[in-house]
Amino acid sequence: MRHYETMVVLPPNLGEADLEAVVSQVEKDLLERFGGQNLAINRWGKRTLAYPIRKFTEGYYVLFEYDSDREDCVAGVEQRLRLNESVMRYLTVRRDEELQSEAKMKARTAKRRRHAEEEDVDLGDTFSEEDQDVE
Amino acid sequence: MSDPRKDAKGAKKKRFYKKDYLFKRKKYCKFCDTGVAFIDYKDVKLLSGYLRERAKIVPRRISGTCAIHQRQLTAAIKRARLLALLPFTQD
Repeated sequence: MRHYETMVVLPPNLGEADLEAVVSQVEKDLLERFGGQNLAINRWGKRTLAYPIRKFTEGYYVLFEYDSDREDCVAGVEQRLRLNESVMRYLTVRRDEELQSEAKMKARTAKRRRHAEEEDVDLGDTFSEEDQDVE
Repeated sequence: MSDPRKDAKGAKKKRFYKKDYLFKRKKYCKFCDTGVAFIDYKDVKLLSGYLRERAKIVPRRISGTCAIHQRQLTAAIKRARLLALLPFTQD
């Protein structure tokens, strides 16, 4: 089971109904066609874009978080989003490995800190070697 | 034969480094310090702190970020740019 999240950017001139139509269509695709599970939809609402897209300066951001077993899940969902004219941008990211890396990073940080304390190692000084022959 | 680092008598010349007269603060990776496991592309506030005025990514040698986190940071910034959360460039 893999955990994914897909962010979709929609144009600001969509009405409330049209917006919901797109969201529910993606939801339906995910759950019924591509074996999505544990779907969570997070509506960010209207945000100012960092650069204009299709001459719009604002956009609706919607985040879908879901799990899936299906190999063709991401490809399928992205294909559907590409065909949807009102979707300005989309991005799918696989998150399960990132979430697992948390424990690994914690161990690494602890190790580094211990190392630095015990041996009093200067981690950041790049000049030290060259300075020694100056006297 | 002539070593530019030595004077006529063969004694080593004192070389001047910036650090001889400037207080140099030691750089460290802020992400390692707080034990960040993964840098999220949705955290716009955090990422925008690693962009310069023209929206270029701040290099490691300036920010002091470690290699692992710098790689994650650039990936996150590039993802955020795609979704117009961050600018590609700024005039």
